[in-house]
Amino acid sequence: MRLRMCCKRGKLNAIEVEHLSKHYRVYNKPIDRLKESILRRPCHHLVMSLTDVSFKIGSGETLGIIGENGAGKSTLLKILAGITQPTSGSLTRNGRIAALLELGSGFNPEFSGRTNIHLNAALLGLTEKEIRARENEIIDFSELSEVIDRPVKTYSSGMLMRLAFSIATSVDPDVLIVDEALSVGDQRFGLKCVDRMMGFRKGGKTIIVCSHSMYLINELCAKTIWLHAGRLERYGMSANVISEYLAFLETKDESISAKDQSSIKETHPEVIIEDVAVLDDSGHPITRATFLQTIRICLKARPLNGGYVGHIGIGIEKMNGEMVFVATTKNSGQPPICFTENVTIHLVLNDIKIIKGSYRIHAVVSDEHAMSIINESKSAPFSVYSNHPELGLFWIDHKWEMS
Amino acid sequence: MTILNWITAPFRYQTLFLGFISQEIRGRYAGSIGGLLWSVITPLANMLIYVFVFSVVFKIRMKPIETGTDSFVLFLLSGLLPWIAFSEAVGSSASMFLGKAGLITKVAFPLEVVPLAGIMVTFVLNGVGFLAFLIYLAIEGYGHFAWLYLPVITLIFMIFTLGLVVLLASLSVFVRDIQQFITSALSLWMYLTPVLYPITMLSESLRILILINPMYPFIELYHEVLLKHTLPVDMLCYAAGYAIISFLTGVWFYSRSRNAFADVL
Repeated sequence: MRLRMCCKRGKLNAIEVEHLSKHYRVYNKPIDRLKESILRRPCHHLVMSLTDVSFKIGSGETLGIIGENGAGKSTLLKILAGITQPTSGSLTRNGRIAALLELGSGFNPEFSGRTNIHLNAALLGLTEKEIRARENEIIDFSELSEVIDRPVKTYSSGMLMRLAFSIATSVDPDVLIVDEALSVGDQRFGLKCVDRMMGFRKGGKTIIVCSHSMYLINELCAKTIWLHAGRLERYGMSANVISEYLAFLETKDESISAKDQSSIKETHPEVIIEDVAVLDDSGHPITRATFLQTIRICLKARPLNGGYVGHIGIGIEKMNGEMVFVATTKNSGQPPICFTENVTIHLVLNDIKIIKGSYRIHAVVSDEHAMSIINESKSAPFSVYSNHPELGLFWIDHKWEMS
Repeated sequence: MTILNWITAPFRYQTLFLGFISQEIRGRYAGSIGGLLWSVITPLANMLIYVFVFSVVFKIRMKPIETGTDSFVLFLLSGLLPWIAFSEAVGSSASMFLGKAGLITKVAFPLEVVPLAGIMVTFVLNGVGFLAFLIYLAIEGYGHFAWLYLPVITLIFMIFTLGLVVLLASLSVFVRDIQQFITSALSLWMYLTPVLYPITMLSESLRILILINPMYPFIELYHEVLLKHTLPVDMLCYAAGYAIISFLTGVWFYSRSRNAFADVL
């Protein structure tokens, strides 16, 4: 394990992490720890919290960290903040680092808000002189000037959060590490906090944010790390990593609900949809499409008895089943299809304008009046990438006009 | 390097150091009406018990040749006051880091300041009582230039206490049983130290046993300087030796285990 710190400014990387791993030794009983240290025989089991994580953050960059609960986000933040040490790998940090892992840790309830400002700022590494210079600004920002000399045990939890955030961000660090701390106080104050974070970013500070709010990460961070089970799953531009992560979450939800549904239908339909696939323009199967790409949906169906006449419908739906677009052979004025033998049908979708996210194809075979569904099938999920930051289902060309 | 850290920490992290001190003092009596008064009342009550048992019930008198005074109360207080400071500091050591678990796992800060502030608080609070005792002694005619050694002795005593406290505080992060162990060990330790009795009351063979007791030279130094106005140099060397051993052991164990605190807590 190597841990270096230097204080040079400039174009240095704010944080460099190489092959970082963190294992926790977990003991079932306290006596096991003693046994192990005396008998030199392992009495623990290892919990791998982080495994071989490497990345670099240039100074002035903003980095988001996302992942499910227990993916190792908090451990990574703690290591970056210097609270705990990595088991292996190296960590290089440059500049003053302030970490807001839990707002208000270190407050003494008996002391006044003012005393707590001094205590807490000192904990975060400010000198008495610096604290005195910033005291008024902290009180102003927290909007607590009327109650600042009362013991903080009389504060509401929102007031405590406001005070804590005001102190923590007044430290003026080179690197700010924030863990889910932006839901501070009421909505108006929350906005003030986001404003301050944006100010930090403009001021060329390095910011590392861990949050479950994809919106916040997308807005605040240029790059994002997706941690999955302690490993670095993706590291790249926020928009891309986030859409992959969301797609992953949706497929996960899907696979859970699919398990529930698998045993429902055991009938023998006239026509069976054997395969639904998404292909690119030249006919190769794809799992990801980009905005404005032309894609082909390929449907293969097999009749059980032969001679069935019906229609086909193909829709794009979100993973939760919400339909984005549906086209049927009947609506398009096609004659009914006669399923005498295996059929393969392509639906070409030109220049798809779907908002980034995860989707799949839902195909149905119906009777010739398109009234009842004979058989249906869903494709594997595919994701759509886009540089457009808008939200929703469809992208619509737009412009703003201010009067 | 680590040793230097410990010495400079109170100055480098002055606000934090003073903050923890005021937190400790105010926290100790938070919500009680008596407040700081209790830091006088509690040891006073203890002393009265000893005085009653040994002076009134057993009617023990001191031999002035051996102890410098014929009053048991003066002899008792000159050893008991330092002992109380020591036992208070050691007694609070187990919860020193455990009680700060919330901070240790959430904020990166110089943890050395916590035991330093803890020791400081204990010695300052008990110092008030000790100062009152000194004034009383002076009025009784015991005042002497030898008392100028007291700050030096107290400093060595604090270093000894600090080492032990840091060791126990770090150990209790891993072994929570330390708290119970300390409580019983302290009361046993007191009776094995010549606080309630002069060492001359022991037989020769037992005296050797007392010599390996690290608290003996400290208590003896206070006795000698306060009442007999002499500085036993051999005791001072013993004391300094024990202080260095205790400090180095404490600091060594702390530096070895510090990195694991956040993971274990």
